[in-house]
Amino acid sequence: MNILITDDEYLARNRVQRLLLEIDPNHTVFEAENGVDAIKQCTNNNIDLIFMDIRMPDMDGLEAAWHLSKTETPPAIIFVTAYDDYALKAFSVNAIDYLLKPVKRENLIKAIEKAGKLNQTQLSKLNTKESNLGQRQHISTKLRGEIHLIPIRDIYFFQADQKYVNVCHKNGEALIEEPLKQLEQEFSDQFVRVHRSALVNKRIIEGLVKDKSGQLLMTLKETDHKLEVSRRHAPDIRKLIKSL
Amino acid sequence: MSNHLGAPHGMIPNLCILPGAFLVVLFSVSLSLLISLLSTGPNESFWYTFGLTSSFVLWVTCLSTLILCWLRNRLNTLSAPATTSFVLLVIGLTTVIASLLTLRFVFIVSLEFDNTAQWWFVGRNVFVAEMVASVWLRYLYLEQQMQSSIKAESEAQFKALQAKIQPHFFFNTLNTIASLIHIAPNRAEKTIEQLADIFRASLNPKQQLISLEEEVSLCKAYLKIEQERLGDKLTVNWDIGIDLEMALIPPFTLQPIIENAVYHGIQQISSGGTIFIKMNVSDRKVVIQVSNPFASNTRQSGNQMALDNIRKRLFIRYQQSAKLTSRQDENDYIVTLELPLEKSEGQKHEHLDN
Repeated sequence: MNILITDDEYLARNRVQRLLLEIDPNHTVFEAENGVDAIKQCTNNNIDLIFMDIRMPDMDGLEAAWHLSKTETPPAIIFVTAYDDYALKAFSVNAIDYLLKPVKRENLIKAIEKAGKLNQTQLSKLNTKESNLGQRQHISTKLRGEIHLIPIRDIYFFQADQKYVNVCHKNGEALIEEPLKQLEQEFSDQFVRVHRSALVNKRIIEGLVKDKSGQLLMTLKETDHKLEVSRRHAPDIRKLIKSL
Repeated sequence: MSNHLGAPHGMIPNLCILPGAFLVVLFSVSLSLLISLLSTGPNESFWYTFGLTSSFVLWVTCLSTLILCWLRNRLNTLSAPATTSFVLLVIGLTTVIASLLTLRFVFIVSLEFDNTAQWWFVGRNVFVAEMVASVWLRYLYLEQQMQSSIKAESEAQFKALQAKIQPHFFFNTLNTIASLIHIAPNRAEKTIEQLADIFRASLNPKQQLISLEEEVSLCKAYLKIEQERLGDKLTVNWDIGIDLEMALIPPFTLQPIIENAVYHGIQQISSGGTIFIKMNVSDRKVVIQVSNPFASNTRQSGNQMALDNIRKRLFIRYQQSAKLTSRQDENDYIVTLELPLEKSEGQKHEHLDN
């Protein structure tokens, strides 16, 4: 079995790895230091099972699980945490089990058995549960079956385009399938609606100009894109610019 | 009155300082007014009766007050029934003396042992005085009960707020030890020793103040454990401009601040960082500043909980004279703690009595 241990602490990874290899020396064990790293490892290696710490820098375990659950062949995820205050939340992100640190050998064996029994359809079914894990730090997109992560702070704006939402960010553009409404709710403290079809990162708002036809446009700090501002949203946007 | 966590609160208040003394006089005059109004007929002089009654009552109350002030500290160590009996005795005696002096020098009669009118006069006065005194004592008793229940409540509150070992810290440390046992038994042993120190300190809630030296060594033990867990991600810079043995601090005041800096600060940054801890004395205050870098993109917040807890504990102990503030600039989160400078020589609890 290809197993990935995700934990920001070296000693914690080291111990689980030792136990796993004691249980079955044939396991192939990979390591990751945080959620972003874990997603990368999953794309590069064919991971069957992840032991996932919850609190980690850059991207925590809950968010990593959320992104992974959107893939076609999601790995089985078992959360490992020192204290069970996160446990309930973890189950809402389709974990098959959770273990408490320090992990006991017999619990590890049970968890691996449980993961082995689940087939791909069952794992995918787990994924259909909608989770509310709060605000993500990344948006994930799928490109040729791989997950690509875009940090929220790098995103300039979201623009709805028929079925998809176009994400314009520091390093280019990407399409995602999440409704704009949901993005607006999740990132309401960082993004603001300027038009029926657009959400802008407040951080990069520069000012407002009018084009020849009298249409109000928003200029942005780090990019040359100009966004239409609808009449309905104009008063709120003016207020916001004043307060910035 | 500063009776938070202070010396036991006695039944008899201090009546020889201003608010108390004023109330005694006001009460005496009111009582005299009442008696005079009730006892003056339409053809008698009200002012004559009032003057006579009020000098009598004032004499009794002032003399009793003086005696009670003088014996107050000793009385307050007695049980409520004993104190009550003693106060009734004192008031009875002063009333007898006042009555006899009134008979002798105001009514100018010679005192006669078999004069029933004189007996009646003295007896009536004592009876009225004891009745009034009983009501007053009942009030004092109820007030004392209330005060001690408030005190018990604030002590319970203090205990509830007292820092406990955070469960995540405890289990993470056990996990670290479990891992170290196989790869570095010596470091595992050291970590167990440090955990034992922290545990012992947290189990000793009786001591309300410890030296800053003890608190700092507790923090250092805590940081050693976290450094074992987080590796070279965590570095600490101490800048101590104060004689640690001289200053006092409630236990587990600094440690949770540093724990916050590790848990919400350093640990959430992939590359780690340094916690700066600066201590000095300024304007008779101990000023401790803890600053740490933080990850701008962290999802978890909730570091305010520990700070609020410390703030409540500081308020119970110091009221307004201690302060805990936090602010953040672009890169750092900075917590500043200000405590009144209390010297650790001998009189640990002197500030409690003001």
